[in-house]
Amino acid sequence: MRLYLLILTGILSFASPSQAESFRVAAAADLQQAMPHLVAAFQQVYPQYEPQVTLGSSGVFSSQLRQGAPFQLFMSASSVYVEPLVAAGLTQDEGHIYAYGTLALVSRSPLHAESAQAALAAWQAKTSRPRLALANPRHAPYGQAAQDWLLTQPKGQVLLNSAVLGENAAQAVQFVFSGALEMGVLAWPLVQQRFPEASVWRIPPESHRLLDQRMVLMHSAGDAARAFYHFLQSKEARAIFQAQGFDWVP
Amino acid sequence: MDWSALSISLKLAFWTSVLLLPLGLVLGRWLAWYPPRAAAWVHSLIFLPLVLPPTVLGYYALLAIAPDAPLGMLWQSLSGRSLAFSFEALLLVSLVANLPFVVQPISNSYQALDRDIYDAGRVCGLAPWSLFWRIELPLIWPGVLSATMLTFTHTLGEFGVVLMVGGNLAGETRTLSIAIYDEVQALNMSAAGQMSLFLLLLAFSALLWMQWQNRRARRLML
Repeated sequence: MRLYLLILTGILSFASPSQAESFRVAAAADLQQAMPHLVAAFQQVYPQYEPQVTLGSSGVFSSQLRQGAPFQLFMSASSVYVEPLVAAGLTQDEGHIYAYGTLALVSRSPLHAESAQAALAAWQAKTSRPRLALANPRHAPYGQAAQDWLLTQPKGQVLLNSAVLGENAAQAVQFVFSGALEMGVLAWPLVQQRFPEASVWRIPPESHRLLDQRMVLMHSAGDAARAFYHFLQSKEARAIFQAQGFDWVP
Repeated sequence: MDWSALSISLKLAFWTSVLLLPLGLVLGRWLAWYPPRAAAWVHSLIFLPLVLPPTVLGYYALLAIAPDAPLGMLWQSLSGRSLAFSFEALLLVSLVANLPFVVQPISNSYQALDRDIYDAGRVCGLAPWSLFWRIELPLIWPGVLSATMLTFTHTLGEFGVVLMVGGNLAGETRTLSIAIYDEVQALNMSAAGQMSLFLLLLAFSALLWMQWQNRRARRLML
């Protein structure tokens, strides 16, 4: 019995808060690869601050924030999901655009094609039941952009109807990476370093709605979150965003 | 291994089991020994979380704990903290979700308990409290054990409700099952594999231990 108690006290006292001042960041899933680099660079300058990052779809975060989720900084993949929060008076200001996102068509097996459009057509021609991976357009900006592009393609609606929807941009990538699906319309920042060049085609940004990635400080934000917010606008952060596949101009 | 997620999972499982047990004892005993006229209704209500999609439970929980809902407001005024997306909210939903797992085994044990022994104790003048400690509890012990173990392991495995109500906050509501989901999305298969294996072994050994304890208890009773 004494042993049980010992183990239990061990379990319950486990989560000792770290010394650094931590703050919560809700980050769009397309930041999955960039975030560790950004956090590491930030902590070089501010070792006393500790960002606690949750990745997910911007639409889900937006709705959670309206229900009082305790995030201090929201890094959305699109302005669309920041605006209602600003309008509801939940944010400190209207925020700041930190990057622009783009899409890529990704295939597991190599295909000889010049463009995303040609690759999609070639794949459709040789596949009996084509199934694409994309993020859920209901609440993920990358899913909405993917839908926009697909609708400009021949038989795009058919592909959309049979598409497998990821909970967010990162899960859609996982569907293809794991081999579950052959092809996907995915977030370029999540695939640029993970797939061989021969099977990735960038999709022109004019063919879909703007992925203007806006971040905003919530009212609960303190010095730590504010420092991170300003760091993300610095030259250094800009270089990391660029290296990770984000653009600076639309 | 995500240690903070593990500690949150264990904390959640521990408190769910500890807080549910007294409620399970009261409800199980009542349903087995003094079935109310509306027993069918009560049973259906208690078993609801077993068959409902976790998302339905999550949906109603989100409505209930919202900052402008009565429960959310009450909590805010008592604790000064928001209930939405907190560990306490997770615990609250977990209590509801696990109700059938604790009531069912205890109620079964009470049904199987030989009432003559209980009556003999009462005739001998044992106070209700002593009756419970010295007669009821030893006899329904296997049921109590099953209830606790099922609740504990089931809470470790809870996913849908936790994601919906907790919102995946590191150090607050990110349980081990959510951390596994995150690692798979990040294509960190080895990290996900480690944590999955850990949960697999933990769940299996808990069930095995429960079987052994039950067998031992039954042997002692014969």
